[in-house]
Amino acid sequence: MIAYTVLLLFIIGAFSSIKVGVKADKVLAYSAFASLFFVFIQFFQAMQIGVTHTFSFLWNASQGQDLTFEIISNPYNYMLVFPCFVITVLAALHNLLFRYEERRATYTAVLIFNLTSLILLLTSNNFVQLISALFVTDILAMFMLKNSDSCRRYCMLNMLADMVLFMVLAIINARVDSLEIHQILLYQKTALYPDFTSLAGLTAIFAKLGFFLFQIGIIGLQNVRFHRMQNVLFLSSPLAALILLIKFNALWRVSDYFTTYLDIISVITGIWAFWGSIYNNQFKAKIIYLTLMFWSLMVSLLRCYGFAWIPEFSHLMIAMYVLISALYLLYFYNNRCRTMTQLMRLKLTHKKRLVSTLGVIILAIVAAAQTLFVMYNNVNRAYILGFSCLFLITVSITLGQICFGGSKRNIGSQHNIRFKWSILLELTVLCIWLLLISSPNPYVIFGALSALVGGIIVFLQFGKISSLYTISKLQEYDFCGNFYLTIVRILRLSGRIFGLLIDHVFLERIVLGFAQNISVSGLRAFRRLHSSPLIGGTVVLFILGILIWFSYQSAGDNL
Amino acid sequence: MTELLLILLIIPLLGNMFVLFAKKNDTNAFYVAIFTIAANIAVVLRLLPPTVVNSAIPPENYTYHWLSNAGIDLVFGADTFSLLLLLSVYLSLLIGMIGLLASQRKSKALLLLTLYFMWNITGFLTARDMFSFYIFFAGMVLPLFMLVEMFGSVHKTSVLYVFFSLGLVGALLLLTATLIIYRFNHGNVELSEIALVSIPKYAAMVVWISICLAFLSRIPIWPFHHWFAVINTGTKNPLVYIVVNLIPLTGLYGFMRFWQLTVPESVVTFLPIITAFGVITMLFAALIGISFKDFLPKLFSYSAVYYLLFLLCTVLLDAQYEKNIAFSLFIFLIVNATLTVLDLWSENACAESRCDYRGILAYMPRLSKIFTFFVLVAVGLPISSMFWNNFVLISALFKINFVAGIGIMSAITLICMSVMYELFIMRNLKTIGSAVAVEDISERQSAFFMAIIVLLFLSFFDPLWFVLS
Repeated sequence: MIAYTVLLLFIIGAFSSIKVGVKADKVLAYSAFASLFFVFIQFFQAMQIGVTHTFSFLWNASQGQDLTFEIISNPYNYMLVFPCFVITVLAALHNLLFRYEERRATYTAVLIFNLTSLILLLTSNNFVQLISALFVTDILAMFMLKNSDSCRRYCMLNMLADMVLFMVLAIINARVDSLEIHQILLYQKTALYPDFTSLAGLTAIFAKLGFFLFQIGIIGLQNVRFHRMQNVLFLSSPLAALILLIKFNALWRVSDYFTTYLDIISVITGIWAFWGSIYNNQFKAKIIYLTLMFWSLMVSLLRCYGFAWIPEFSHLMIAMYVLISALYLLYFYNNRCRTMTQLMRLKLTHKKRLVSTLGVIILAIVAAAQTLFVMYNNVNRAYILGFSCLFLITVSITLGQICFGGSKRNIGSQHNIRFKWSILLELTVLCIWLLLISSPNPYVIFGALSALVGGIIVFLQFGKISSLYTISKLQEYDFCGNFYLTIVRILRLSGRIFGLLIDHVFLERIVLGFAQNISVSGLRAFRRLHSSPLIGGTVVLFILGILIWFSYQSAGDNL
Repeated sequence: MTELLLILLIIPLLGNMFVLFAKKNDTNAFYVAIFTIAANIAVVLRLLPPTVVNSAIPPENYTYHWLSNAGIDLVFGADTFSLLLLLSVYLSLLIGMIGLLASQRKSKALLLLTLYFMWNITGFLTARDMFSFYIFFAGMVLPLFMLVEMFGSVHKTSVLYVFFSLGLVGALLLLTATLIIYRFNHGNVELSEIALVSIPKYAAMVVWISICLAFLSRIPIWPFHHWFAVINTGTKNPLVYIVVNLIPLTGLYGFMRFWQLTVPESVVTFLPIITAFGVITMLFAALIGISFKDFLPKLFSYSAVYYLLFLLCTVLLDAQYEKNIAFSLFIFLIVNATLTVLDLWSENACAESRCDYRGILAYMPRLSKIFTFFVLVAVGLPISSMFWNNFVLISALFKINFVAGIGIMSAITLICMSVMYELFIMRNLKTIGSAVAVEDISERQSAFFMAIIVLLFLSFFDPLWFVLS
């Protein structure tokens, strides 16, 4: 069934990528979305039934390693594909409703192709299909971003990660002589440099996720349009990295340092992202840090669940996507101001729209909080709760600053008071309703209470936090950028030094100079020989003598 | 089928004759050259299917009894490997022809020498005996030197001198080896039978060291890489650049033909040295590539790294990987030639519109799209068969030598990132400063490269999709 979905998606994508006029593009975009939605419904029905099927064909044969292209449909793969599909449908809808793209149909096509490659990545059973799908996802991310300057660091870092993964898979293939992913179990027994392969692969995953020391790539995305940034953050390399983390969990376990490394990096990333989302004045940078926090939480959760995907992960991802989309609406209704300082100064308009948007935000928080609580209850790890609280606090502070922060209170005080009350009313009604419909369910109560706590934080004014936005040194300092620039400079410098020392000084000056000197000396010697017939004749006779002796020696009995 | 081999060799000579008698300052000669290359491509495409279908059976050879009293018969033959290389060489030359500017197309000498070079390389890649192998190996030096000297715009005479000397010394070394083998076999010998010739130990050492040095002198391995670099970076004529860039292929092909079955144990002891030199040069070339600021020098570093990768694959891996090397080389040569032409076009557009070279692609959307595709293929993304074949080759290298594998992967990663970075710089609108009017490539040129893109993209699914078997 998944193979059938892939085929349909490919056809819709190809159809949607046809270049047409502006009016026809609108029709094409709508029809592409309708078709995508139809395929999603079909997929959802198949998921409910749990149709199992394997589609495969021989792709390439080499050195006895037959490369098979496979799309395996089973309940687990359906579960993995589901959140990607939902988010893609939401992204396509978003693209349809907000007229940011000049050619909406083309952008929808990119989203559809991206979903196709993600499905191929999820259902792959061999290294080559997996890494091909991974590379294709990265290429499509370039199309999604369009802005070549802003995505440069992101693409370069992704490429570096891809090359490292390519190398790790080549090492495994060299050791186990098989392209099958499940043969990693065999590699566990016969691993060659196990720590190196495991940690190098894991570092590549962190680079793709944009974790600590590699955040430079995704932070750079703040300069692209919001929807592009959001789609890349949720549908491109971070998601692909998460899939790889699940698929290769047997490989990571080869090293004893794996869990320590994973825990340290994900915790540091979480804290770093929390700090980034608090101090950063750029709204889109805040969103990126929020997403980074979310991905670090996901990685920690996955580790707790033994790298097995459960439906709660899908719920969490969708809730997070909806939350970021709603935050985008806030940004959109506030004249798309880039910085928090500007957003705080702006008088709020479109109150009704804002109220409904905040409603969506609260709902997303409730859904995320209750899912997290379910997960926390299963594994009982304190840092999950800690991460969730940090996340809630960050979102609430950001919302508070946008809606009630800064000088806005003084400008339209009457409107803002009404606005505050309407939010509070909305929140209270939601909580009462949730408590009424599922009073015995502790998870729902937890979700509702979290939303209420979040709501209270929104109303509290954290003036000192917003003062961080005015510290220019803090805002401008780019620790990671400087770090990478230093590495690149060192590489360039060493290249130049090598080039100068070895090519110019050693080869050109010393070797070539020596050869020239020898040839000049030889010429001089010959000239001198020719100047005196006696010396010349003697030398020629001597050489002839040697030649005769040599030919006699080498010819032996034949002479 | 063997007659087709003869036709393959005759067509470039006929083309040469027509070019020689064509009018001066006219484009007739150019079209004749294009037709000659196209005709040879057609012949190769006709020759390929039987070799692919009957890959287990050795291909039938064409024998020409040249000097029967001296025991010298010239033997020609072609398997899938040589035919694929021939196809990629012809396509590269065709791309180079398309890349010529209007004024350059009228140069009869350029076209004449290119076709002469093409004849030599055709003979070299189809030669199956020691003598014809040597004749065509040495024959390439003359057109190469004349092309570089006349159209290469290399100003350093000393570099030209060393470059030519290297070619000549390489040819002399191969001649020495050929004559020694001839002496002990009492006649010419087929390449596949060299191992059967009984040669005393020390003479064998001389033969194989001469052969190795002859081929190494044509590969950009340290210390020979420097002169290649200077010649390549100084050349602004796309066709000459491509011809110079095909020279390492001849050294590589030589290793491929000699090393796999015929190399004695005494020479294999030098293998670690060749491996170490190869890996160090790869890293060195990659680092130098990073230090350059323009695309063309980076492209040279890229091609040096890849040629050395193929060299290491040839000397370290078994004959069963021959096809993977051929498929990868096929794509590599075409991509290299295309990127050269596209870069020189963009440089030319900059010169005409007097703007900065960086950011130029932002003003040339057609060129930009094609350029981006070829850079993505070059860095090994899965849009051509190079991706999968490189994976197989690198994996096999890891199996043999882990440390060398790490070194090779580091060099490839560095150079690929460097090339990719340059693409971003060339596409970046901000770097150019103010808006400029730049003429994009024509629709016909764009269509030609789109056809190449289709050829490469479909190779991802089947490397020999164009062979109608």
